[in-house]
Amino acid sequence: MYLAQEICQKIHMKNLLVYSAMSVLLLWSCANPVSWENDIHIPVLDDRVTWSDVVPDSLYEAGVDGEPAHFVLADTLDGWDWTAWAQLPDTTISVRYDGEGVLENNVPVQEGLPVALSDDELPVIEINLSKPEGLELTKAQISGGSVQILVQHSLQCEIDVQFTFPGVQIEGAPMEITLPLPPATETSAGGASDAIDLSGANFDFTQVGGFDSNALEVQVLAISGEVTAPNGFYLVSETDSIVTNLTFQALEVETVSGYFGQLTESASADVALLDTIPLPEPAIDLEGTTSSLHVTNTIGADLRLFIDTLQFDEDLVVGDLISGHDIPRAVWVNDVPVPSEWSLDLGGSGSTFLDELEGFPRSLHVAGRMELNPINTSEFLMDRLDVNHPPTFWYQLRVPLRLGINGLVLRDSFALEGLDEVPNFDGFLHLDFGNTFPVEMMGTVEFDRLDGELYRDTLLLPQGSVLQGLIGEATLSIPVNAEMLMPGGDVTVELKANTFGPQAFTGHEQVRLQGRLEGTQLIEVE
Amino acid sequence: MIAWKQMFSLMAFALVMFPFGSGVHAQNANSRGEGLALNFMMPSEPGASSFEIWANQRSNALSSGFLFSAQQGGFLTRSFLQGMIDDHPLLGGMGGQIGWSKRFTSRPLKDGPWALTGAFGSEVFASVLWRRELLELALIGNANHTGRVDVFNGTGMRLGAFNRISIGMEHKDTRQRIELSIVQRLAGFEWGIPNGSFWVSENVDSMEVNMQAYGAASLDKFPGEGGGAVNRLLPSYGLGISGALPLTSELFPLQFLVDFQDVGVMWERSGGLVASLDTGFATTGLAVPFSQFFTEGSVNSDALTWQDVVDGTSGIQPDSLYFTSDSAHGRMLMLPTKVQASLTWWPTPDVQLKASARAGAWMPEPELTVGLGWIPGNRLSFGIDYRTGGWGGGRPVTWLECRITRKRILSIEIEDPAGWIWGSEAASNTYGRGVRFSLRRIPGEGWTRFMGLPARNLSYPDLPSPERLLKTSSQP
Repeated sequence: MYLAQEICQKIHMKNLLVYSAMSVLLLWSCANPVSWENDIHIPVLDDRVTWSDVVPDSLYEAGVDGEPAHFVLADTLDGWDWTAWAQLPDTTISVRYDGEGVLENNVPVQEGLPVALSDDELPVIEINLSKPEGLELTKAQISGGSVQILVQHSLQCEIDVQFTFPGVQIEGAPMEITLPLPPATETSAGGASDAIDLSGANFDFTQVGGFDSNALEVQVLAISGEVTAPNGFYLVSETDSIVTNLTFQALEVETVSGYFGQLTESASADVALLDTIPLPEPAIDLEGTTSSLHVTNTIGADLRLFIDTLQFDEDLVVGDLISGHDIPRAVWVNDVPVPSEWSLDLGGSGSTFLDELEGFPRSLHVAGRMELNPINTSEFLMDRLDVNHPPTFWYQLRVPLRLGINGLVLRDSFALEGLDEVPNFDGFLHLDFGNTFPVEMMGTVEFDRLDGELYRDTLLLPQGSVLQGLIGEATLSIPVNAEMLMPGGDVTVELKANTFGPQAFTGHEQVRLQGRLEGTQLIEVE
Repeated sequence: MIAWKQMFSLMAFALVMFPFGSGVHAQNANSRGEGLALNFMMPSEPGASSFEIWANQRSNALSSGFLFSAQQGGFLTRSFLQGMIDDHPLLGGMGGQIGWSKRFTSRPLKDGPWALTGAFGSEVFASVLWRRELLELALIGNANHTGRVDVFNGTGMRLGAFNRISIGMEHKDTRQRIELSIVQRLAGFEWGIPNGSFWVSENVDSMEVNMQAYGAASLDKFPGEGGGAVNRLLPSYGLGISGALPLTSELFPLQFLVDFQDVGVMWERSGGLVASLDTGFATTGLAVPFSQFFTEGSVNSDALTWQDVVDGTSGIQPDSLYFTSDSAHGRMLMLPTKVQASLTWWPTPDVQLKASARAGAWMPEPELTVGLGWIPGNRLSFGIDYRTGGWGGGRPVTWLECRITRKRILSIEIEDPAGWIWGSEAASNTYGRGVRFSLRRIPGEGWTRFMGLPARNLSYPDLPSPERLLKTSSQP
């Protein structure tokens, strides 16, 4: 116990010793504030201005092997919704079997035996769609949609009715619909309904004799069930009928053939060309420029394109291209379309397209119409469409980058707030420029301080050359210290360039700006 | 050599009997007058005992002049700092210890050759190491050495407060000693950079920084969560072996001594604080969204820009760069071991030559000492040593031993005496200071010319007869 007590006492003494020593060290080291200067060189800024900053990457192609870059506009025009053409409007078709026609009258119904129908007078389902006008279908493959069938009758007996559509194949078999119909009463018809999914169904509208298109055969078998008439039997009369309503809903075709009728759709599109500040005194050498309009027609139907308006900014393009242009149909080989390619040279003779382009327009507006089957070929029933091969309407503009500018390229200003406490730094922000554009540039930085002082510095950036591996280098040094930063003010940056006429650019040119902070930091330790 | 089984039996007996043995020791010391002890040797006299207190601080890079100037405050000139950096070694360091120790030795047990011995005490260690490049970056900057990779590897700091108690056996004749040490680390803190570098290209157009750092503290909560309180400390414990092996020549006045303390390991308990950082970046500078001037804001760059930094939309979460936890796993660490070997030679009765080497105690390199002592009489000896290594370079050491009673010697050792003249011109070129006081009780009989130390120089007939001298002895 004595030993333990002594140890505990010593440990307690040691605690005091430890904390006393630490306190003394801390107090000693913090006796007075001390300061010193620290020279630092730190890279703080690295940026590049390239063509991609002026022109979106998708709009230019860098040159290869010293060739000039090309300003390229190639895109589809989405003015026409081709998929809408593959959607058939909802249609209801009514088929009536009555005692004056198919339904033989004065014949009693007997349980378990077919209701007597005259085969000679079975009706044919005719498809008549209001749009497009003159549409005649021979075959169609359905990718989606359904048919709803509603059957009503006046016979006072139960009926099991079975419809067979030989012209509609689902999974290789004719479409069959079986419905058990309740008996009718003196006051109400007996009826039932059902819906059939038509996804994947193949329609053949040509199997009915005497019809080349738009017709479907329907076969009906009605087996009488229990007779529910009060007297125990039922005699079919002239007023009896069996009425069938077929409603096709949301039908989408995958392939369709026949004659698509005549249809005209209007469309327009706007294309941004140079979404930037206007170039000063621009000049462009358009030699080698190509501009064209293309249609890749994958529809087995003739098209006619009317270009009504072609406008750069506020200026209309005139010429022979402002008219109708026939686009031939695609040819189908082994159920696959072989598209027809159609092109229109927008810069062809008589067109002012390239002339307008020299003015560095910012946007292009196109408006026109597309006419389906401008010539009636309904007697041939040779139109075809596969929605998996939609036609493409696209344009392409390739302009060699031979530009000329002279004047202010960039001017920007911003307010620099004054700093209440500036770090104890005294030095410079050195801005190192490396230029590979084949053009000399003049940069100006102005700092109009709120205390009335004006700081102004200029920079002459020599021209460079990508092909020669030449980099024009220059450095702009901006003081960074309390005197500069505390007052605040307005900073204005200007960049001027003069190409002295159109210059060819490779697309690889850039101005690299690197900033390094070099100076002395006063470090103070309290 | 004593058998281990016997050794453990003796140590167990010692633990039980220590309080009584200590009482006997005190009683003997109090009841025995100096004059009564002449030519009288008690058959079972207690062994050596001592009480020591010491403190020292040293650096191999930061001179007293530099530290004094920094302490005084004000502006430190570039030439002043550059001079310090020019003389700075590749790896700078500063360390210090402060502590005390009490040793006791009982009478031989059952009139046998072995006596119970033990010691207890406390010591605080502090160690700071840094690379010259790091100090140069902090004090001078990187302007004068762009293009050079500044390496921070090895930079770190350790701080620990230890309590220790050791119990063992000592041979009454040879003074060979073996002890079992129990060490408590009351508090500990460490921080280090195993891997770190900083580089700025010669043209100041690119920069690369890598940093792997760690930290640990024996607190169960962070200081902001009440972890600064004393009761939040997480002490750790360890076991070690201590001992001494003095060898004295029978024919020549030579003594060789090997002394070691706390050779063992410590188990740091789990639940402490731990932090780590492992990150790096390379940059040529951040971009400025000049592009918006051209494309009217349709900038799609994923790179970090100054605008992101200004707007606070950089996406960099500081918390994601480092890891902290107050549930560190336990680990095993080395104890702050000390090992010392010394060789002492008395070429004449008046002169002592000594060479020693000391290692451990968190010193970055061994500490070597050579020295010359003069023993003008049987009450006084003094000398001067040259010491190098440890935490710093070469420095003088003066020592004085004064026999205040027949069996008690008061010693004082001052390391780098000029360093104590803090603020003076004489101290400006010193790199540290140290002091050690000790009060030793030596066993044996009578006054000797050698301050109680053995002598075997037979060429001096006026020496006490050999049979009156101890055959061996050890310094505590």
